[in-house]
This record gives sequence, C-alpha cells and structure tokens, in this order.
Amino acid sequence: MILHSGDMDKAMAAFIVANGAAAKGMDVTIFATFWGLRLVRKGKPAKARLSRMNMGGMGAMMIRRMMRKGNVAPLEELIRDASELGVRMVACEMTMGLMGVKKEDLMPEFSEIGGVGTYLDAAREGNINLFV
Amino acid sequence: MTEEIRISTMGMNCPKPLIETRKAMRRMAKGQVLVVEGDHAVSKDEIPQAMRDTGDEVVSVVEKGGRWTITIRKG
Repeated sequence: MILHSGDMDKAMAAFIVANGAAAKGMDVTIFATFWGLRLVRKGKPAKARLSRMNMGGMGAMMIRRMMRKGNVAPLEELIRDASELGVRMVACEMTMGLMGVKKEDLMPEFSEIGGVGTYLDAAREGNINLFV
Repeated sequence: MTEEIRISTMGMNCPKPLIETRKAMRRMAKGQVLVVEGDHAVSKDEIPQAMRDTGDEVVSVVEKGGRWTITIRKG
C-alpha cells in the first residue's frame, strides 16, 4: 500500500490493515511518500495530527486519551508491531531528497529506500492495493 | 520442545489480540502449542481464521462469560 497521508487517523487505518494482513500470513509492503514519509520520522507518530477536528492539536490529544482509555494501541506501537510481523516498509527516495529527510531521521522500521518502481514491483504481485 | 506457551490479551482492543497472537506464533517451533486468553469479542472469531490462513491448527475455542481461550498448534 501507499502511505501518502501524514494524518494520525489515516495512518492508524493503514497500519491496522497492514498488521492484520501480516498476521493472516499475507506479504505486505508499505511505501511511505510525501506527508506519509514525513510522518515516519523518529518521534513524529506520537505527535501526528488528525485529518479532521484537529483543533490545533486539541482534537488529536483528545483522541489519544480516548484511545488509551479504550486500550487502542497508539500508532507508534502499531508501526513496531508491523515490523515484527515482517511488514516491508519502504521510504520514498524522491520525497526524502525533496524535503531534506535523511535516512537517520527515519524510524528504524523504514530501513529500505526506494522509488515508484520498488512500489510497483510489490504492488503488481498483490490482490489488495491501498492508497492511504 | 513441545512446551505450551500462554499469553493473555485481556483488555486489549482490535487489532492487538491478533497481533500479539501472531507475534507469539512467529517465535514458536512447529508443533508447539499456544494458548491465548482474551475478552475482545471479534478476535474470538478472527484469530482462529487468521491461524487457519497460515496452516496452523486451531485445537479449541472455549468461551465463558465473555472470556475466551483459544488453543493453537503451530503448523
């Protein structure tokens, strides 16, 4: 799947699906690009904003509190889990250059760097392809 | 070698019970048995299906008062 969004709510959906698919034995590749690439920098998932009703960060804070109360795993934990379940995570090389993101800025789970061809080689093998 | 592994997912919400079950399974050897306890309703059906998807054997699913115990043998 392509992770284009840097919004917490959308990235949550992406990593929940990725974890579920990996747990069901499917091969999963996440290609992080643009805002999604900026999101997977070290320390950023815990500070991500909401796509709606962010209210200057208040909304995101409220959702995080509700998630803790409801025992819903935070985004950063889902990213670690996905890595442990063997999800392949690729950082977009073009976005890294464009936005000045260095390899050491990225979460260690995004150890691979690639381009559109890397994504397509994985995508054409798959039956499910998502753009988040 | 065939020692039984037990994990608890009590209180966890979707998709953590499934994730924790698969994480435990990945660390186990073929033939080893995992016993998962939990109380997340949907996971009671989704965990057995996900295990069958990968050729693991669901030995039993027991539910009592909203708490369930799933026993799986790694295939």
